[in-house]
Amino acid sequence: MDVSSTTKIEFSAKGLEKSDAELIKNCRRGDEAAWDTLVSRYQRLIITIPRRAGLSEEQASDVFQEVFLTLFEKLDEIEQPERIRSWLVTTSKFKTWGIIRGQKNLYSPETEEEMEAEMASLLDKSPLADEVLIELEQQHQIRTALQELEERCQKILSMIYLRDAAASYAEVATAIGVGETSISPMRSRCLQKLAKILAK
Amino acid sequence: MILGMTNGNENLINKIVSLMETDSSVDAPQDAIKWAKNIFRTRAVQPEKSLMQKVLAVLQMDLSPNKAAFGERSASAGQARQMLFQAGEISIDLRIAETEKGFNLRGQILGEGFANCTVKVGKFETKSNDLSEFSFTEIPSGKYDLTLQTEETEIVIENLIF
Repeated sequence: MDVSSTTKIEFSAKGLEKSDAELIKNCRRGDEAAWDTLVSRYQRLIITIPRRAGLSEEQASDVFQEVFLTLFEKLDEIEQPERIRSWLVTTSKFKTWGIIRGQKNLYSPETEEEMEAEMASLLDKSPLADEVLIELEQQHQIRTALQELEERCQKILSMIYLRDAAASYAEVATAIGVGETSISPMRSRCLQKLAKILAK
Repeated sequence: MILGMTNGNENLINKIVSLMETDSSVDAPQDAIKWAKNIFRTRAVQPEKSLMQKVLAVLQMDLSPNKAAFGERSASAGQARQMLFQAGEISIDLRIAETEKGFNLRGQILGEGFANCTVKVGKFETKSNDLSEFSFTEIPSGKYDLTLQTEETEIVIENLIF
């Protein structure tokens, strides 16, 4: 069931956004651990945008590095640290589009407004369309929220839902050392905890 | 439906499950992550800009013990050395008295905004009261800077010799 395209539910997850703001604040003070956390938290989201858009691994790595270099250079200028996720997604999107445009020998927009207009004209289902990027952001939020659950819940939900080939209850039961019949109620409780974090 | 869930909660959980199942994101290459983490090592930490205004106080009057101010009767002179400093619109009245165990310092800040401020003499620290008065006892002899700190202003009296 593709609920994401039919149900209008926004994640609030303000707790996580606040953490982002705190990370940026600490980075500005020179806290290396905060920067490491920021990179770890967003590396997957940033690399996925150019990869989804069809860029090679090497090109995607270039985008990834440019995004983090830009963040590093503008660290003290970002006006809304709590919205850093959106900033990173937009920056990654623009840099990805820059490479695609170069490959197609398209003209270069001269102003940011022109670039915005160009991006807005992308088809809804194109890899860089807002709808697709919002879904990526939400998947990122889920992964970040997952990190806040206890280890057992992380393992259960990751094994059942995040692996390419979903694990069976029997496999999950073996992995965490409980009976197979316990997995279903444990899974439900873990999902409720996850939902609670995302709905905060 | 999971037991104990409302419809809204169920919709949210269904959405979470759907997004997790369709999540095909990948980790960035390890060398790219390492590179991104390392660029921060080049950042020179900028000290936070302080908006605090620092003002040096200037000595206006210095009366030794038992010496009356000009125009006053000698009977009104106290046992303590009296000093008056000026820092902009703020005046600081100090009385320093020597005792067997060191020096006692009493003072009052005359002007707005210095009630309950931090007062330091060298390593000694206290707070002014509601009338902007403060005192220290048994300060060893020596040369000290006296500072009066509020959130916006720091007044410094340099090189007080006890």
